[in-house]
Amino acid sequence: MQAGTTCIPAGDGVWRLTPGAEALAEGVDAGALAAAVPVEAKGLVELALDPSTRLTALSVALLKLGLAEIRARGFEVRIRAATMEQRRLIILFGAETPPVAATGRSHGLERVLERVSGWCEAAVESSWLLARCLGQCVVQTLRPRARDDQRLLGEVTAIGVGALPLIALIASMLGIILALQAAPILRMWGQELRVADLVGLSMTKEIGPLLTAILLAGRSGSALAAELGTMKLNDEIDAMTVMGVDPVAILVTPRMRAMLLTLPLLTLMGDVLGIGGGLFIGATVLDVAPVQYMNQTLQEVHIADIIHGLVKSALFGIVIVTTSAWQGLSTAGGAAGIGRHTTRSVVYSILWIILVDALYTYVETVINLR
Amino acid sequence: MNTGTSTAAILTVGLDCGYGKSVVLRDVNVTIPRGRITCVLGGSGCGKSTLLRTLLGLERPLAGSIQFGELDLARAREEEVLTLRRRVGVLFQGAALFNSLTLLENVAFPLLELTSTDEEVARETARIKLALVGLASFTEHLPAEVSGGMRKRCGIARALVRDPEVLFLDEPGAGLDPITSAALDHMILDIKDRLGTTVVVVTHELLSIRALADHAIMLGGGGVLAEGALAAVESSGAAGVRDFFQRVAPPNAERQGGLGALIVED
Repeated sequence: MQAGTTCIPAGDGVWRLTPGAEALAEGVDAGALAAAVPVEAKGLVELALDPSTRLTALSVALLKLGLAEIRARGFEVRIRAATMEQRRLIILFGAETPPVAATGRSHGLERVLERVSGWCEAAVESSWLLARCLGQCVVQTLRPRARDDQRLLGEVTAIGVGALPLIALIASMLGIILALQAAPILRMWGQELRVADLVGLSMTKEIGPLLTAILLAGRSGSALAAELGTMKLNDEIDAMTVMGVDPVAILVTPRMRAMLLTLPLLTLMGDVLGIGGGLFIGATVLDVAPVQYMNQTLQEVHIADIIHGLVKSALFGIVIVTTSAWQGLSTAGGAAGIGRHTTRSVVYSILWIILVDALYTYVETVINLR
Repeated sequence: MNTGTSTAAILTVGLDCGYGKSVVLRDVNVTIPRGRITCVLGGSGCGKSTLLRTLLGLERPLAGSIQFGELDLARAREEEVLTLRRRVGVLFQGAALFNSLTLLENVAFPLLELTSTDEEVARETARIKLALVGLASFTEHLPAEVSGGMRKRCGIARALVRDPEVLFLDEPGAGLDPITSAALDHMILDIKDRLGTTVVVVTHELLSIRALADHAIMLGGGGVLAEGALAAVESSGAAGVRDFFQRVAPPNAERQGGLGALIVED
């Protein structure tokens, strides 16, 4: 119960409820007013405002909720305003607000079906984007135009050169880590030289392509999604479309070409540096001579292994650009939308990279085993 | 109708516009006369921008046809739509300039991307159009470095760079001060008079409407309320039209009843 609020019988079956000085202020619970009405009261409750009470939208909201609760307990209610100002504000702020129209949100099965049809639509549209983009890659490569080549060069620099130091560092560190992890077991079996097989094969076949692709999904894929998303919200994509310029040809295809060129090259560099890291540990921890290590690597890592890795990295490149471009071009919902779609571009790219990797490795292994 | 098409740049018949399942405008039958300024009027949220996006082919019409010269946009093939787009210029509400390009590069962009124009020629053409909108000394500025009014003017220059038959302007005066807005109106009149361009202006600003409109299309209540010469539309007598031109606010239907009914008199 609010201090200062009183509710007393005023004759003729009327109970007079007088809110205290702080009863209609900020921080007061909407139930406080109703709680002031004693249990033994019955009949009509009249809320009498003190002339000094200054009403605001918040105090009228408290009045509204409090009176509704009193009414729900079976009382009739009415308000006695002390001043014209109070009267005016009660009428202004205390008007009925229309019930919120149902948003048409569907339930149960309908919702699941909507979701599924949304996914199907996205699958069809992103496949169409992929097909268009790959077609344009071929056209732009076979029929070179100065402006396309200029864009390609810019993208190769942005995607490739910028990522060089990062990939170099991480690949060589992973080579070192792999070799270190294997060192105790290999020494136990007296197979120190096998460190070269282990590092060489895992780097070229798996870790090199995967690591490079994941780094580029985070670095270049997210940048593409954010850029396209901003342009979409700024009407720039529509502006291009109504000019008769294909936004995909200008904004996405150059990245696809650049990615197809640079991702395998960066992967190759990662492979070499990873093997370098293994060689360093072999020489310093496992007493394997560098020449011996290199001979062993060349003997065990075949050209086919490297090519498989590079084919995978090209597929990863296609996955990254398509996923990021799709996310960017479907951006909606203001600044928060750009953030959401950029995050999704990275998460979905990595998810698809892993799925493509698993499928490719499965098919390759099954074919080799036959 | 055949007599109409010779003077009509665009003609819609039974056009329904909207997004997906929700229809915003029903049964739109309007004519946009050639070489004149047509203002598409109406309050906020009445479907002006939706109609514009549909006329531009950015949204598919839900029903009906859009006759653009000889071509029906609703049934046109992709290449036909592309050819058509080369004949129109558009200024979007926020100008939609490419932020990483200078004003000159923005204006030259359509020429460089869509034609085999030599770069020097394209840049010179862009300079001419920028001078036409009074931006001759801002060619090397980025969009972020100039004012909102300048961005709009640059957007118009870009829309004009390929000498379109029809120029669409979406709320050109929105967010501009009265002087800049009036200057923009003068420029639009000047473009019509000197270049003979058909202009479609989507706006709800009365001063601009009175300055510009040869022909007006008034939208409201999910359709077309009135269409014709501005004076005829203004005196058409439909309630929505009269309120719009006389700036009468509708009664606030939401604010009724409630606590007011509980007040007792002494």
